Amino acid sequence: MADNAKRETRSTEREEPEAGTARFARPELPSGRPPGWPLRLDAFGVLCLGFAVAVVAAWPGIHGSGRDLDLWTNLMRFAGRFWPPDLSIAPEIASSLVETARIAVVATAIAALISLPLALAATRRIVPWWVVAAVRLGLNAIRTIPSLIWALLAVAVVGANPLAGVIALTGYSIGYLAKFFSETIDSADMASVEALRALGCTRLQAFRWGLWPSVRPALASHVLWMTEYNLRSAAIIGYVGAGGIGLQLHTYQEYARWDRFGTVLLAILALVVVLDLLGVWLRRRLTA
Amino acid sequence: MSRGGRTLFAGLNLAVFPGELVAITGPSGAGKSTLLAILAGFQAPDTGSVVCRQRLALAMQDPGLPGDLSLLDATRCGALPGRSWWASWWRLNEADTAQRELTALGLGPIARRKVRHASGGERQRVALARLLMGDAPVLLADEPVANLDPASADIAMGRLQAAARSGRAVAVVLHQPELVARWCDREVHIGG
Repeated sequence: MADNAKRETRSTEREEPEAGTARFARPELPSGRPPGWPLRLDAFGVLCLGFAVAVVAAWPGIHGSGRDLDLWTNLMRFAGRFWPPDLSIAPEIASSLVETARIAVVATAIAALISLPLALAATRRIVPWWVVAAVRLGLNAIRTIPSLIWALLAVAVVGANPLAGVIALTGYSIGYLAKFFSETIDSADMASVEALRALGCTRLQAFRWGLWPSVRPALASHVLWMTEYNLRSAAIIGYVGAGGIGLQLHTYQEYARWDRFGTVLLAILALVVVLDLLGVWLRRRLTA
Repeated sequence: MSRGGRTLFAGLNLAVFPGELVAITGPSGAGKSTLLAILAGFQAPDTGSVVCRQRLALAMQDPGLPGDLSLLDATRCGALPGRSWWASWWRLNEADTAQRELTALGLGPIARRKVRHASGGERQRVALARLLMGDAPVLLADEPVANLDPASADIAMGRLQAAARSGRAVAVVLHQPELVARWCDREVHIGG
């Protein structure tokens, strides 16, 4: 009670602003002068300024071959070879697209299954810090390797076939999905877990019926995003023989059949657009 | 018990017996939620001890309901304590009991709605239904009617009183003197 009385006394002694003075005046330096422009920059301003400085510093290092080329004419001549697209190859593109989709879907599914336990092992709220540090280091190492390098390694191990594509994209996806999953779990509201623990539930029950339903829509959204991403990647890894439509791209590029090359690119674009629309629809259903 | 150098309460001697509904009242910041946390074993008192001869369940101020569950499933979680993990991993039980509890609290028609689409008051009633679903002999509830309109608050207090009359020991933190007078058997006031 005595403490309360002291607190009340203090609160009544607080100085009120005089009538006519600004209530939220700009903060002033101890000297009484308003701050200069560097101190008025917020985080976004600092970011923009940093980028501007980086671009100015990097510009001298960006240069062409030094030859006097008519870049615009070259570009127009090259782009003209893509038109009109050769639609006679539609049947083989369709079958390659199906193979690409198979590689992407299977790789994403396997990666999601492996990523979930890894994500739990990379979550500060669940396991000791040294386990988190070790698992995150491993995931960082996985993410360091680009999908094309994963594909080269897989082709070297199992040969040039769609299985190599699945292995490559699975390895690559684990690095990202486990990171996304663990960040989702780390940032989840733990009130549902605490509420179940307060009712007398075990930690496992609180995870299953408290945390899991809270994070499930976000995890599913990450898996959808990874599927879209892997479809695009599956189109590239074919360049090194890991199956999918990339093999067609590689062949038409080698033979300079840019009309066919353009057709394949259009087919990939159509697939990605369809998947994007499907993803939007599914995400809406997930949070309905 | 003290927090930040301030004594919340001292020399407290509180007993809640089976069959009674006890109201814990006091001004905001007096330590009512802390008292419940101590009783539930989530927090240790500075001195003294808590003796609980029975299993207890606490409904905290924040209902803590996952948005992706239906109101019915969120309520069914109240029956989880005491079940083995393998029996409770894939499915929840006691759908009929949960539906009855929700109906008693006026939520029967919207039992299949997702928690994320429920209002604050509806969530609070689900949290209360979940508490009542379990078979813990001691029930603690932290401001279970804070977000409810007077009619719904009366219904909720009626359910808590019924739980007490069935032989459970029930203690609730309340801020409404009229509800304390109408429904509770005893009042414990803390914080001066």
